[in-house]
Amino acid sequence: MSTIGIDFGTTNSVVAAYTPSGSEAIDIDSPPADWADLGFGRVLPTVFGLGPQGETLFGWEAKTLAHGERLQAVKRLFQQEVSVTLDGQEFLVETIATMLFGHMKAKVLESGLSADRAVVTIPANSRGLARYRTKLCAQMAKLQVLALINEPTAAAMAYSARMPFDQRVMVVDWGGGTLDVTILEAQAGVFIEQASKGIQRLGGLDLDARVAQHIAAATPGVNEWSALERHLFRLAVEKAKVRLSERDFTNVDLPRGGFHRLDRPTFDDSVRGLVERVRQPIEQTLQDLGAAPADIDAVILVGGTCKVPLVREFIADLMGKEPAAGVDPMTAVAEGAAIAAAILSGEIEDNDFFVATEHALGTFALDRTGEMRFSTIIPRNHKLPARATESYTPAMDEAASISLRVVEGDPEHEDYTVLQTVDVPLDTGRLSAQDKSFDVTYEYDLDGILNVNVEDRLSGRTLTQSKVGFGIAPLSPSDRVRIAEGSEAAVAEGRISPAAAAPVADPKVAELLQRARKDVIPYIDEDKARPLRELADALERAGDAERPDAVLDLELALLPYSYLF
Amino acid sequence: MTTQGRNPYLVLGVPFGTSGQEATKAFARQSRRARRGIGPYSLEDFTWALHEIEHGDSDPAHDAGLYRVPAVPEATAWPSPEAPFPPVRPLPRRTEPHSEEEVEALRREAAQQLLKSALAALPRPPGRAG
Repeated sequence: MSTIGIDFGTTNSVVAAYTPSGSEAIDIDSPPADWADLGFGRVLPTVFGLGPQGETLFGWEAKTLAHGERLQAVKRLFQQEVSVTLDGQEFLVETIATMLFGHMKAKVLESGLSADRAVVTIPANSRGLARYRTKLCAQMAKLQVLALINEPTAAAMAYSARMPFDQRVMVVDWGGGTLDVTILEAQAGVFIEQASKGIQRLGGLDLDARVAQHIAAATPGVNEWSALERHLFRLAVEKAKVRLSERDFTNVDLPRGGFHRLDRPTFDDSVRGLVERVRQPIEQTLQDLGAAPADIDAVILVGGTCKVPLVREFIADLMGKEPAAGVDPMTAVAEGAAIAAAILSGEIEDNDFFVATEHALGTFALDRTGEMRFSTIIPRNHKLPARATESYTPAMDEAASISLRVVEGDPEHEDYTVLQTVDVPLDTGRLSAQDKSFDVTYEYDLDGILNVNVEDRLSGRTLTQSKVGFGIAPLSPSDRVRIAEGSEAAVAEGRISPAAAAPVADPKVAELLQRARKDVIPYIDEDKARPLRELADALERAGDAERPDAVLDLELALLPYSYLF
Repeated sequence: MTTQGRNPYLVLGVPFGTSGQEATKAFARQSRRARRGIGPYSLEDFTWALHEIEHGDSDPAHDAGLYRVPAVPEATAWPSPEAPFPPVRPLPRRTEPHSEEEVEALRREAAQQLLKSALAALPRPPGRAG
């Protein structure tokens, strides 16, 4: 039985296996001829599609699909979305992701390796919900998940396999959807994350959208393009971006014939604003450690966006050193995950790894001045597994219970998400608030599962216990079985079973929701995506009477992004 | 995050005030032991201890929440190899002095003992016995 490492990326996924000679990426897809020489040989685009006859398509087949529907960037949906509409059928996000994991597993089996156990990577800035859903989907694809490991840690392990000495490294992991900057210490074969900071929605997709916007502004008739033509245009832009990593200029094919000549300075100018955003997480991680660029022994760049020369130059200038050689930005994360799998299965001894949480965990509580503030229980950059306790006192003597809000977020930027509200019953036989004080203990593990335990301080009695991390749309055991079995059948038979998808009644509504959730929301900044998401959710919930207004609201809100659909 | 009565230096088994860099090395060692189920501490204890040292007060002696033994190490420090510190001082006398007669008797006794020792040390003349 062999173990594999899976880099489940926003735009591309890679699978690697560990052998006695080292860790190596496996061929799980074949790119079309015009992509084959661009470094995508062992890469599966993380794209799911439905062909004209309703057949299930994955990877390059789905990405380059001319007639049919496709879904990209499913990983971005893990943060907040419940479902997605494809070709008039509504799928839970978990269903699509499970099919993608299942397809990768099937491809590994075809290559002659076994694929029962895996280490799966996730962005370092993943919140608990995304961690939980990633693991669940891999499990529903019948993979035994040995561990989730942060992508930068995996990349550092791949690098250290070639440079096996104690050192402090910075990994900039910038793929299609997210940006992570992590500083790690390698000590006698143990990899320890020290600081991490990321941006959840900033990647190659956003660079592509910026360049597409630039070219569309100079191209007449863009508003008349069909959905297929827009898709072909986006593919041409992505390909041009990749080509410009090695050339000074290239031509972007336009869907109705002709081309747009794009040179590197023009490309650089259109994406410079996005590229420079990498400065903030780099400076933040250094500041978290009180370190200077000179304290970093090596800078490792992974992820497709790090192949862009402007990105490499900008980071080299910031850090005062050239990026380390010897890692393939496209496959390093999967190769490191395979090494992690070998460590956990005992094939490699005397190595270990510890990841840290990029976000803080705590609750909202009144401070001494009576203001409601975030109270940190597990701080940022704490290694996992973590366990911490804080004590609290009810605000009023007569309190019979309190509502403990379990919160994750970034206290410095006041960016919070309430994961769950836990009711804590208090001993009403006690008269003073002081006597009702309680200890709150958070235990946070690698899989994004947070155990909350509340104890009475005087007696030590447990007041309540809760497990947080079941997501925004909790799946019942029967739902999980339905998804697992339906996805397995879909991968094997190349067709979706009725159980895996639920039809949406009104095709116009379905199309509009699809446009918002698939063509626009994944590609724009979160502050602009949030109102669109709310309008889409409102439309989905709308009854017959309010539906026309909800449709109009969403259509108007989507107008500024017509160049995307 | 409260210390819950724990001392991160003690948990990691490093001297009080150890740097984050050294604490990381200790963490790498100790975590291996914990994975094998050796020792009284769990991985959560070690991750907590390392975080406390890395992100705690730059001068841990200022942190009243951290206990250490002895509480004031300077009190027993030996500042230089040449001289003890604090300097050597005579202790106050705790018995009454002897009388003149007792001192004179002690002197006589001492003189006799010295003479006996000196005579015993002289070499004997050859050819004579007894």
